[in-house]
Amino acid sequence: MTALILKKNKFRSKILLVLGTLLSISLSAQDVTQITKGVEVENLKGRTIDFSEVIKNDGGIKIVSFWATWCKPCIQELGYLNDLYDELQLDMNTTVYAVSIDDARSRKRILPFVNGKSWEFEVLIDENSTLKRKMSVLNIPHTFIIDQKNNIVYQHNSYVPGDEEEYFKVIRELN
Amino acid sequence: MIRIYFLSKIRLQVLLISLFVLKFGLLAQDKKGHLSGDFYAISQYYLEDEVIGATKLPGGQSIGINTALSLNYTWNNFSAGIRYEAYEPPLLGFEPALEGHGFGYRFAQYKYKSLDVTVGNFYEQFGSGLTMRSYYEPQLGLDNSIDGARIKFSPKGLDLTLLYGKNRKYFEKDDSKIAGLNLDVYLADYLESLNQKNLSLDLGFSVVNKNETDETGLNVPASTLTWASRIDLGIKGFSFGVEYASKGEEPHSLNGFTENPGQGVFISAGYSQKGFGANIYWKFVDNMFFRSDRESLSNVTSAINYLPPNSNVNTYRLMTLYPYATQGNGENGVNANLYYTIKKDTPLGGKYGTKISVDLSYITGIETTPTGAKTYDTKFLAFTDSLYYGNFNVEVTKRVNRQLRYVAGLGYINYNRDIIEGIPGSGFVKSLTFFTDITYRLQNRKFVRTELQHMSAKNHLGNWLLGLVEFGWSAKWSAYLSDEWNYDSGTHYYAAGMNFRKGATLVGLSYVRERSGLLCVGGICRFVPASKGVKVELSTSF
Repeated sequence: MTALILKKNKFRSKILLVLGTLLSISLSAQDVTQITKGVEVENLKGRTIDFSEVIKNDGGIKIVSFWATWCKPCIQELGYLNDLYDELQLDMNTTVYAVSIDDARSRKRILPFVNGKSWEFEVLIDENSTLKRKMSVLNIPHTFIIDQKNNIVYQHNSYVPGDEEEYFKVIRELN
Repeated sequence: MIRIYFLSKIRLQVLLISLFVLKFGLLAQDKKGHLSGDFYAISQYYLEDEVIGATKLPGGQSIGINTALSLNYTWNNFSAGIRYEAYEPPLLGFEPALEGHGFGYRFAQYKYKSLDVTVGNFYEQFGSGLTMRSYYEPQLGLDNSIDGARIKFSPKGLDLTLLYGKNRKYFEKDDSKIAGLNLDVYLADYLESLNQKNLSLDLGFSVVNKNETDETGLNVPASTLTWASRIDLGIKGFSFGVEYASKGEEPHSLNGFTENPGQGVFISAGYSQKGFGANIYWKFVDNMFFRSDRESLSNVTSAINYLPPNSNVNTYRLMTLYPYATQGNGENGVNANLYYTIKKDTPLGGKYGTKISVDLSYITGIETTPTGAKTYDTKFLAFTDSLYYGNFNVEVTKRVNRQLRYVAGLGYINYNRDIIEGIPGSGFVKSLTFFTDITYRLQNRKFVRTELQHMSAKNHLGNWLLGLVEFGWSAKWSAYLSDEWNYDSGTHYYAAGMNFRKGATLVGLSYVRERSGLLCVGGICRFVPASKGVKVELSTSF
C-alpha cells in the first residue's frame, strides 16, 4: 500500500513538474535557419538540399506545411492553398513549401500525386522525419509561417476549414 | 529502494530546473542558442463493457497514460536534445514492457561544412530501409533509435554515412552491435551533360552488419551481413528505380530459425505531368526480417530494417478494419496508383477542377520448395495462387464552390485473415465499402463536416454503417459525434468529443466505445483491444 502511494506521488510530481516547466516556457520567435541548420531534405528531383539554405535564399514570406499523401486534412489544407496560390505569390510575396513525411511505403507516390493534383507550390521530402523532429512537429498537418527574416511568427497544429483565413491575416500583417 | 526513488526524482527535477533556467537564459541572450521542443500526453480512463469485451488495464488499473517531453537545443554548429518519456502504465494495446519512465532519447551533434558527427541516439535510413531504418513512431510505441555514433560526409554529389551502435528496446538496448555504411552518388552533380538533358541518375550502396552473441544453444551464426544496391533514374516526367538487397543467414524467432539467406527487390516506375500522375511499385521479399534480438517475437521492437507494405493507406474508418501487415518472411506484391485532375472550367471539372484517384494492390505469397529441415529454394519474383491481400479504391474529390467540398468513393478489399492476423482457418474477408465526406463552410469560421460509410462484408464481422458529424464554431473549438454500427450484431461503437486548438497546442476530450482491431502504421501493426472510457489528449510544440 505504501509502495503504491509512493509510486502515485512520484508520478504525479513528475507530471506536475513537466507541465509546470512547459507552462513557464513562453513562445519566442525562433530563427528557423538556426534550428534547422544542416538538416537535409530532398526535392522532387531527388536532390538532397539543406532546408535552412532553401529558407535563407527565399527572402520572402514562407508557409511551411508538413503533410503526407495519406493525410486527409493535410490534402484539404494544401488544396485550398493551391487554389489561392496566385494571390499568395503575386500579391503577398509568399511561397508555400509542402514538406512530405511519406516514408518508403509511399515515397515514390509523391511526385505523381503532386502532379496529379496540379499543385503549383514547392514540395520537399523528409523521408525519415529528420526535419519534422528538428521543428518539433508531433502531428500533421502542422503549418508554420516564417517572416522575411526567417523567424517563425506563427504555427498551427491540425487543420479545419477556414484555417487558411488565419494564415492570410498573419501574412497581411507581415506585408 | 527508497534511495533509488529519491535519486531518480532528484535527477529529473535537476534536469527540468536546468532546462527552465537555460530557457530564460536563452530568452535573455538569444544569440547563445535556440531551445525548442514538444510535449504530448494521451490518457484514458477505462471502463468495463461486457458487450464489446472492454476491460480495464492489465492488473485492474483504470488509468493509462503515454507522455513524452522533447527538448532540442541548437547553437551554431552544435545541437543536442533529449526526450523524457513516461508510460505509467501504457495505454491498452501498447506493449506492457514499455511501463516506466526515463530518457528514451538523447544526443549531441556537431556539423561543420560537409561533416556531421552525432553521438548518443540517432535515427537513420539507408535507401528505402531494406538494410537499415531506425525511426520513431509513438502511435505504435516504436522507437528503434540507435545508441552509438554516426559520421556523415556530404560533399557535392555524394553522401557517405558510417554508424555503429545498439538498437533501443523500451528503456534499454538490445545486446547486438550494429555497424553500417551507406553511400549515395548523384551523378548529375558531376556530369553536366546529364543536367543539360534534365536527367538525374543516382546510385546507392549500403552494407549493415549485426553481431549478436548466440545464447540459444542452436549454434546460429553471431554475425549477419546485409547489403543493398540501388539505382534511380529520372528524365522529364518519367522516373524509374530498382533496389536489390541480400541478407546472410540469420535464424530468429520470426522466421522460424530458418538457415536460408534473405533477399528483397523493390522496383518502381512512374510518369507524371501537370494534371496527371501514375506510379507502379513491385516489391518482392523473402526472409527479410532483420532483427537485433533473435529471440524476440515482438513486431514492434528489435527491427533493424524496414519492410514497407505494398498496399494503399486506407484512412476511412471502416476500411481500416482490414489493413495489410507486411509479411517479411515472404510476399510478392504490386501497388499501382493513378491521379488525375479534370480541368477547371469544364462541365465535369467545375470552377476548381475535379480530382480523381485510383489505387490497386495485389499481394501474394512466394513460391518455395523445402530442401532440408531448415532450408528451402525460392522461385525469384514468382507470384503464387495464395492471395494475401487485394484492394481496389476509387475516390473523387470536388470543391463545388467556396462553401461546399466533397469526397466520394468506394473500396474493395480481399483480406486473408489466416496470414495477416495469423489465425489459421479464419479464411478470407471480402468487403465493399462506399464512403462520402462532405464539408460545408458557414459564416464566421463555422463549418459542418459529415461522413457516411457503409461496408458490406462476407465472413468475420459482417456489415457496418458509420456516421460522423463534426461541427466547428470558431477558430479554436470543434466537436464531433460518431457511431460505427455493426448492424448484423446490433453493436454500436460510438464516440463524442471536443477539441480545442490554439497555435501549436491541441487539447482533446472524448468519450469512446471503440472496437478491437489492428492499428497499423507503415505496415507494422499492433492489436488494440476493444475499450470504453474517457480519453484526454494534449500536444504542444514550442
